[in-house]
Amino acid sequence: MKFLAFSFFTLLAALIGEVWAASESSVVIGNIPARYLTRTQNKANTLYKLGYIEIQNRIITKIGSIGSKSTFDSLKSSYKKKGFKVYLARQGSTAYSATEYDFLYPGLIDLHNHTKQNVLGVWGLAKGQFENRFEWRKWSKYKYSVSGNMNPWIAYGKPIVCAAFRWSELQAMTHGTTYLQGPSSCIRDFSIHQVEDKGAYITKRAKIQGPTDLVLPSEMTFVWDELKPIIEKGKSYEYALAEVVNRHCDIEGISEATVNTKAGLKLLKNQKLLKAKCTKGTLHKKFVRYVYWIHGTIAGRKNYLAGANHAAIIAHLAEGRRFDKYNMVEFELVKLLGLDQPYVNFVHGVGIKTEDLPHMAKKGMGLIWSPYSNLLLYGQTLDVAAAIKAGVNLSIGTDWLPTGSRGMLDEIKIALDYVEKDPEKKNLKELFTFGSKYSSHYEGLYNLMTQNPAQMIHHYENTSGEAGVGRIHKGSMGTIIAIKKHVEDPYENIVKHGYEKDLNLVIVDGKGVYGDESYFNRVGVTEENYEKLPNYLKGFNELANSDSVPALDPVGATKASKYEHLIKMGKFASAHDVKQNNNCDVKNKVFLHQDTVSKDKDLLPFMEQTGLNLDRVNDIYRLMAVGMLTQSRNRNNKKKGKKDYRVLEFDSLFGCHTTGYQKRIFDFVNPDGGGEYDQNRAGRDELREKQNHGRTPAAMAKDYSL
Amino acid sequence: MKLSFIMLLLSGLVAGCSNLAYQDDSPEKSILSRGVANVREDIHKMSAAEKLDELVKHIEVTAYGLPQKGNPRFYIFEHFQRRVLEIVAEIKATGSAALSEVAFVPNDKNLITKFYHLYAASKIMDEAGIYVSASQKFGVLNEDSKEASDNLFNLARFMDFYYREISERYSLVVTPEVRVGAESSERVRHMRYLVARVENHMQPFVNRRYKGRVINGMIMQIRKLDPPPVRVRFEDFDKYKKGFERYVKELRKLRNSATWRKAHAYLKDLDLPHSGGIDGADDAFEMVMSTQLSMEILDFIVDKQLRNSKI
Repeated sequence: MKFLAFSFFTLLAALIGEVWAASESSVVIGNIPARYLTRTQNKANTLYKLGYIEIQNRIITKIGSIGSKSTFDSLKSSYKKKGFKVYLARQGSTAYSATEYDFLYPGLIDLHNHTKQNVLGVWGLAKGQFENRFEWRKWSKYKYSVSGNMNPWIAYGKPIVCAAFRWSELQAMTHGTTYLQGPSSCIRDFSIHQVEDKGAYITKRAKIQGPTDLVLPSEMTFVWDELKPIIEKGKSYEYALAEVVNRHCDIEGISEATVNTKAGLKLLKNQKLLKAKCTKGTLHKKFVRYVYWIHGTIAGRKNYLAGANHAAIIAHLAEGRRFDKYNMVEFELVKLLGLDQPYVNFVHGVGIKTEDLPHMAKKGMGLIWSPYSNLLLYGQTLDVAAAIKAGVNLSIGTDWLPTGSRGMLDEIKIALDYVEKDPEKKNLKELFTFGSKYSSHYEGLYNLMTQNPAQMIHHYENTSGEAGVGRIHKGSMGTIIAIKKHVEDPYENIVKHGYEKDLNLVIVDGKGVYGDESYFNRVGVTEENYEKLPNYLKGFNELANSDSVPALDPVGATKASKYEHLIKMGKFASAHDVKQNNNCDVKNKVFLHQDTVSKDKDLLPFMEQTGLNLDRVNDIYRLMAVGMLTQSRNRNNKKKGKKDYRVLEFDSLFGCHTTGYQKRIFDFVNPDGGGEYDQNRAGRDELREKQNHGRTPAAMAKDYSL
Repeated sequence: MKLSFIMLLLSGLVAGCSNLAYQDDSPEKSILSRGVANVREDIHKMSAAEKLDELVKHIEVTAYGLPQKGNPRFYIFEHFQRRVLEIVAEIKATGSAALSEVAFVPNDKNLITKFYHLYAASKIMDEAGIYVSASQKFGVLNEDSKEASDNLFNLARFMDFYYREISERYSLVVTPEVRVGAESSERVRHMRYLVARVENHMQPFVNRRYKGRVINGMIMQIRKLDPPPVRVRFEDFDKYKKGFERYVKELRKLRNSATWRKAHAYLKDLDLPHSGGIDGADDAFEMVMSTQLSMEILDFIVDKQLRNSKI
């Protein structure tokens, strides 16, 4: 009994700890866009109004406007008396002003990212030449560029994996993202939230699922060849699968009703049973592989969606060019599998046929658009015009740094350039007002970072037990950003003029984590409680060509020996002599000290042995730089790596330090022509021929008899 | 004895055929010249050192042509490749003048056993390969590409040249005990490689601490296995035999233990884990194959060892 009581209270404490770990009572004062204010709060119906957002226990508890200096002064005073942190979102002055404060927005939501690889730079070989994503993944030069640089150091132990993911989170945070999709580790209480982390929300819903692949080209030939003829006659996927299994196997208990159940899956996951009993007739060459490895995953997704408290699924689909034959099959497979359901959202979706888009809209499915990545890799992107006309919900995702942008503030500018250039002449500027529902295409694009993704992941509405994201609304999560005001239109301000240097405040669940130093000083946070940024450290890049840090032969190395090596690396990184070199237009930013290391069973001993505190940006940078510059396969393995592809520069947290990055991205889609996008399109066929591409898409099409 | 004679006869026949292969356009030549990395036609004229270089090159090309993720064929090949590089480095480090001899296995008593280790490593890889091929035939694993099959076939022929030469010229040096010892040593190395792979990939599947403890316990036991080093001297035979029997006894004890049974049960019939990374399903297959299939191959190799435990 005592043990039960102890366990109960421990669990309760843990839950409370989990929920309230980041909780603070705060008020943020700044310019609030009109859509978040009531008529009473914005009687003059201006584009924005100076106002305040009160946050308690992670939730926005009050929103109000400030119409005069006296209201402003009394508000500040009363909140301070109540013990609130009062953030004044204005640089240089804290005086009342109806117009000079930063714009406040809900924390941005990035629904597509491959976080681990954001330690790499942009891939110089991507020139729009590929047909689909399987083509570049099979290219040896890709393997050297990515895998050859990410391995083997990433497998040396939890601390370095943690550092890689945290680096990615920090990059996203400096672009205003507060909910970042993608695999992650060490996510709690560090900087921002992971979309798939249930603890990121106040919710009763199940975790959001974010598998990269829902549809596997090789194994799904079984579905295409064997199940499709049955499904096309009006039967369900489950019926078709049971029929085919029973045709070939003498296994009792497999039927339409049982293939997705625990009992049915147990039978289908029994290798010995399948070997012994599936002996009738000629099996499709992917029958066993599909039934044994894949069906369970599909059943899992369907069972998840059938649950009353499901959230959403986010998966890649049809990534590549629009008319790549295989790409056009992937959505057909989704329909065959019966996964065309509400809250199933696809990343890229470029190959989804136009006639299927109304079906997607009707079903409540969404599309996550990654324009920079699509254009860099394929020279083509989603037919956003068709998607909007069909009514499909659209959001934006950054994908990953090797073929994408550092964060939302950069990605949205590529999207803006694309919309304004309108290369296919589809009247995109007009379409992005969504039937004149919005004031401008800026506002339409703004939605792609805020309310649209929140709706896609089933976390927009505030109901009993649910606090939504993606808007500034009473009852929503208290995650807010402040961006310097350049122009009067708040949407144009963030979409067109908001860069990383303009991001002045990031509040996560009511707690300030990053922003302008003065904003934190005003609330009593002093230097010993934060780290000053940027802090580009000069002196690491030279390691790329030195032997200071020995390599480890990973083949056959044990977990213990890899960790030992990691400790040596960490000690070196900690002690390495470097200079600060802040030659950047991002100034006076700080990241508040977090305290996860002291409670982590892996990070604490790592700190004790190496001196590296992985709650600190500086130390994360040090460890990542040593890992990337000295431990890659490209650098150290003459047989399996290629030295020419090794990393020679480890980029700073901010894009302004990376030569070429900003120039490339902001000139990529030049509305007046002549940008890299246009150049790539012109030279595409020739480059494909020169690089000898084409076999992979052709083979994939052949597998499906296309 | 009879078996040895038959093997010699067959070897002679094959050797004869292979000689024909280099003389004219016989079917044998076309078999040997299949694959991406053709075995050079003048291989029989090369020195022992040059033949080793040719072997390393062929292995490199074969490895390059194998899908590296989610592919147990690649796992067992990767280990074999590493062993070959280690053994070749050891051989060359001796600086023996005999390496310039025009032979596969030069006549230097310090080297002959090392060459047998080379062959033994390929034999153990082939052993594991039987399990992989059966799984491919069943359908849980993807089949090797034609290019990979051709290269593996070529490689088998290449290793056969070493085996034949040892059998023909050095049967008094490479005695049955030496063979069993070398093969056991290579087998244990392979087991260690497989458990390292399991250790590095099992996290998604081990959702309870006690399961992790059991699996780690099994891994530790495998790492402790230590067959005695091969002895060629007659006077060391008894000591060697005792050491070997001790090793077999430890292995049998582990194989029959609850630890072994439970570890295999925890890592059997695994579901594909969440594939959120850039390589998506490839990553998921890599995790599950590295864990489940490595355990299955480990089981297979251990059983093979226990069936070949007499000296």
